[in-house]
Amino acid sequence: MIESKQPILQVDSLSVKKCDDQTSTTKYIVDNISFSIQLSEFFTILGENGSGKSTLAYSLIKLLKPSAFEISGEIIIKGQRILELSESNLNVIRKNEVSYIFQNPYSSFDPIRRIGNQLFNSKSGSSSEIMSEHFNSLKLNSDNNILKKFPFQLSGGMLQRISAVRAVLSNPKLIIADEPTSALDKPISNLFMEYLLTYMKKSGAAVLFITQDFDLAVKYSSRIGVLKDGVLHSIHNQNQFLKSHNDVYLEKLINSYKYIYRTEK
Amino acid sequence: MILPEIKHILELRNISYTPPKVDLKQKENTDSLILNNISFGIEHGEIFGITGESGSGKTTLGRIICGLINQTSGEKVFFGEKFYGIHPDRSIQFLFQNYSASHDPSQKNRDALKEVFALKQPNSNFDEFAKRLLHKVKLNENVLELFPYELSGGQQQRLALAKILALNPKLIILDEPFASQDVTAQHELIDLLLDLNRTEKLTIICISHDLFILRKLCSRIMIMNHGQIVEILRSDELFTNPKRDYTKLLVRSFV
Repeated sequence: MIESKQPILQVDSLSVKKCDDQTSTTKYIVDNISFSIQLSEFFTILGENGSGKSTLAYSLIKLLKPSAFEISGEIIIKGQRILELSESNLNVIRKNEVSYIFQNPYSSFDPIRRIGNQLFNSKSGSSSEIMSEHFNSLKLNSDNNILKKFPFQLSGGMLQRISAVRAVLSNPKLIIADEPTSALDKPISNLFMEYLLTYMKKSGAAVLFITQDFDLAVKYSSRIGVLKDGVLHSIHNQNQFLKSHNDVYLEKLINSYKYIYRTEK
Repeated sequence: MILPEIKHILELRNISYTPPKVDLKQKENTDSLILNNISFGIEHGEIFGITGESGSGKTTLGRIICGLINQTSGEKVFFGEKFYGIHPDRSIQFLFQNYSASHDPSQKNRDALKEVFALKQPNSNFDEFAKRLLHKVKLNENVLELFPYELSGGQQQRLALAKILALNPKLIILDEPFASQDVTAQHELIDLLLDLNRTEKLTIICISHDLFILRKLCSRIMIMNHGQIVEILRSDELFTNPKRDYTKLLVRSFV
């Protein structure tokens, strides 16, 4: 049944090679990765530091600097081959189909424009009532007049939640969230995830969530892909993920998770 | 009021903190009391957790204990003696959340460690000392010949920890040591800290927003909100028997 639908994102043997000019060495950051994401799916890529998560995410909508990275393989978003598109066609996709939530919210907002001006640019003609609804569901206090503030006047946690609102307001079919919760504390992370999940259910969009937070991955995703050293180690359905696998690496991860998060000693 | 007791390695009495005024016009920030009348004691050899939401004042409290900033009012007592600012024996040490910034990028780890070594034991053998120290934090000796950037995040953190331990502290304060780490690294760090606590009789204050990790690591956990102590619980009570409504809410938002 699921196979008959066209996936919103399809990645086929994607490799990203980093070329270092000074030492003239090349290194595969992302190595021959294939997966696909359907609409209404919450797909998580779980990986440790340096496993190539962010590079993978950037490469999906071609945000990597072309001179330093060589991308090969196939990326198809909504039937369009990303790697073959011109920059202007690519911008249409970046604007209308895909929203990206960056890890560092300070660098993803224009520092010299007020938050309100940056949010209202999103294509839905959002009124302030809708806006405060969004803000309330993320526990952002709307009386503070956040919309009139500049990014530097807000805390990282607030700004990150606003970037989730920004991502949702443009009504995308796919949200790519690159470690959005790394600067948030647990309760706010949970809230953040609920917010993305609610949008996903309401609009039928897909979410690609990239994280190293095992707990969030297990709690919210429908499928989990484990990334290790640039290789997609394995993909699991959520309900099977914590069961035992015949795999040393996964067992180590899961044991550590259980050690910290489960009460049984 | 908490009565003074000798078994406490550290005691805080009515600590309050208001940051110096930055906004000269003083339009809005009139009641910016970051810490409000904090009093508690830490027992010798325990691992004490401090938690709370972002902005609850937990890092500020840690910095005041170490003397990186000074309290506006109240007093700090260490082994029964009052002190102000940084403790004269350097017996209280602080591990920053941003540990990679505590390494000099232009210096090999050996030279950096030598500087710390010279502060405390100038007369003994450095190689032996370094070996013992790195063994404590479970680092391989070959890191001495590397530069900080050649280490992984976890290794950098351990090296920062080693530098602190080189000063023979009685109490160390760790500010969000588990942030931005994956579960396996968290697991290893928990084991390392438990080990240090047991073998070195080191008292540890761990500031973290992760209740699960604190439950695993600490003997007691203090919950803070808006610069005040909500309550102090034994770690086995945290999830099963929280007394205050705020704690219940906090715990519920985790599971």
